[in-house]
Amino acid sequence: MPTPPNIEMTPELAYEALFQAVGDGLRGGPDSVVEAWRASRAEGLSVATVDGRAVLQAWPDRATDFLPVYEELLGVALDPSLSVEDRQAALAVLYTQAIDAVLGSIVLQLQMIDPLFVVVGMPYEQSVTTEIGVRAFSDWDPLDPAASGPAFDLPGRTVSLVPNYSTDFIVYAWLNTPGPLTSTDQRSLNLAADQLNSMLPAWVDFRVFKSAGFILDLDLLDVTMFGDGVLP
Amino acid sequence: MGSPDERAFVVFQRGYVRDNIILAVFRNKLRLMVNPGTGLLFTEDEVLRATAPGTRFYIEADSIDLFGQATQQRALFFAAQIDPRTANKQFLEDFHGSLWLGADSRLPSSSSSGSVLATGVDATIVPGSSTVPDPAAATATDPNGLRYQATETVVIANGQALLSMISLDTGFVTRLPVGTELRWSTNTNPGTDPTASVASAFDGGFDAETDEEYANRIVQRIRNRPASGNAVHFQAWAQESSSAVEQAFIYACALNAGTTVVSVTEKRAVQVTGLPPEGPSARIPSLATLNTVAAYLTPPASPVVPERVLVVVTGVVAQPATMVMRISMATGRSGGWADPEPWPPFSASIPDPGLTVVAGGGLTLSVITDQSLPGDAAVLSGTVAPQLMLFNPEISRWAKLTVTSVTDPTPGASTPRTFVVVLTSLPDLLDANFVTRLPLVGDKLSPYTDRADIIAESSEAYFDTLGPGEMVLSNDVRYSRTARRPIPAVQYPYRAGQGILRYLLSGLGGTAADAQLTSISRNEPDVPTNIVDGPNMITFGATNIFPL
Repeated sequence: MPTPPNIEMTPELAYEALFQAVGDGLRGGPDSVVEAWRASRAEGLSVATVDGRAVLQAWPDRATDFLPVYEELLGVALDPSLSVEDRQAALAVLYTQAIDAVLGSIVLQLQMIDPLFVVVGMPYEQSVTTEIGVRAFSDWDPLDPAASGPAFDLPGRTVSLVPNYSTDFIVYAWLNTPGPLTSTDQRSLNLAADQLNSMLPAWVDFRVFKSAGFILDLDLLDVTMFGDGVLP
Repeated sequence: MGSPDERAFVVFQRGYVRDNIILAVFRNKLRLMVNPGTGLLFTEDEVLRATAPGTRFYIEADSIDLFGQATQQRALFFAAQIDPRTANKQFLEDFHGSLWLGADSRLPSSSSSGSVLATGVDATIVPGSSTVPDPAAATATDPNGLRYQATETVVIANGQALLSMISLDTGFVTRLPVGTELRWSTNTNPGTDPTASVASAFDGGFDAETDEEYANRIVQRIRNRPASGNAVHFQAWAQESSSAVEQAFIYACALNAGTTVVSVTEKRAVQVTGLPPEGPSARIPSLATLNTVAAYLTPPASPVVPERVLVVVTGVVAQPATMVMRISMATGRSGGWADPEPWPPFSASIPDPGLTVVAGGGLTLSVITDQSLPGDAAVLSGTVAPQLMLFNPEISRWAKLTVTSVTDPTPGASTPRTFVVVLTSLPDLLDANFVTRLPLVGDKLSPYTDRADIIAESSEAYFDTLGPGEMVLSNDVRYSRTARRPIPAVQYPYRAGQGILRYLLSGLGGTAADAQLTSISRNEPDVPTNIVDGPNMITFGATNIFPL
């Protein structure tokens, strides 16, 4: 069923209703006390029935007095110098936003930071995957002759640091800008890291980096990064 | 649609429409009109008399005003429904809950768990199971008829066996105190005595989610959008797994790619009159809560997390912060320090006096300080004996001492020495299982104030705002990904410090003029040695308070 339009009670509508409610002989002349009283009541009725405007507060893109409520709900503090319309638009975007971590969305979000961001895929033959979940909880002593698996014998550790490692769980975001690293690049890399931290599944890691080159990182399994100087 | 001003949601005080709209407009119109009785313009006196209270015009305007107030109430009611935290139950469930969390998303009551001492013939097996419920596991009932299941299989040795049990029924009523008798009902073997007793207080049983808790969960959903298993999603999953969960803290890829560590804190139960407070370990999740969350989040059985993910669910490890605080309150009166000259006052050389010897069955206590008794007295006893209290760290409260006398071995000296405090009766101290205990060496001594409970509750409220710390150091290669979510700067900070004074002064109101955190033993929790043990979290530790 379509929603009926929200007709606000204007003084004119109220007056017309009051005028039509009495018979011709009782309406009084144009300058009569009866006429003045009818007009005064119409003003009062129109003001007393503005409650319909409460409904408008239920949508961030139509709210007025309730904009601070939406700011607090969404945990944002918009610039108070913005116009009501700008605040409505900003809050409506936040209120209705939906995020996901499919590849297209990741690329889109990164390219909103810098159009030159590229998500680099890892060819299957260069991927690395450990046996799933064999050492997460074991009280593993690497000196124990019964122990098996790689010797991730860091001091004090009784669990593997990489119980479920796979390069399939890493997003490589490449900022493909020319030249040496600039402050703008660095800012883009930081923003990309924040964005990926927010949107990626909590078991998926990421690397953000700029330009070509080979990477020497601390990950013992990350040997695939050595190569011809260009990421695969 | 009009301009924002034309759409402003205005409300009126009672009488505003009557006086400032209807009668004001009418008076203005009358002032321009000719009185048909006199043929002259209405005089101001005639206008006022025509619209005075009790006149026909006033009464009619007043009725319109009342009508407006009634419709305004409807508008105000509707406006209150827009924010989940002010919405009524029906709007909260049927609109906000359904919209953001799904239909029927209010969390039901949760189970509690604890340890139980079973007795019987040696070598008798008490079967248990971590699957809940498991028809093969031993179950028992409490005096109210509520059911509990053994979660581990144990063998009776030396006539007894300690085992963990979880409640099959749910709610706050399943929080059993120590000593409660449980009667075995199913699956026990011959040789098991018919009853067992609760050895450690049951924890984790919560009633169904309250409106406030449900609304706060909805607000979290509005504020932080879960998607694709991101950190916010894990928080939401953990919270929807049990009404006992206060918050989940996510350490993405803490064991590198492919893994997630989820650390859970438990809600602090509402304090019930007559029952002791839960103390600093209230937010450490019970076994029942951890089991429930782990079952919900751990693949492959998890209904929400994909199969190929390794999820580790942990609790948090308490790291108590001992403190010395000084509070400026009136002396010698209720609503302040009880004694005109509170003893012991703060001493920079011995800032945290504690018991060094407990003798005489707990009635004779020794404490070292360099602060002489008032008037350099050798002994103060009876009505002039110092009023003192001991901090009970297991429940985060102070217990008043009934002091018979305090003796100074070298009156008037300024060197540290051992004072002897003799008590008339034992103080009300409780251990971690809420069982009465004697004073212990190390218990912290402070001058007495009847505001001690307020100070303790305010401090406890402050520590409840803290969350666990990081899992890896900031120079670790994983840090950029593994840093805790929610971000400590935004929610649940993990550093403790001067922020406690705001809670303290707010709690004490006009009673305190000023306060000072003189020392705190730790400002932030350590990074755990072993990630699967869970992160550390600072809790309310033993505390001395003195006049400022």
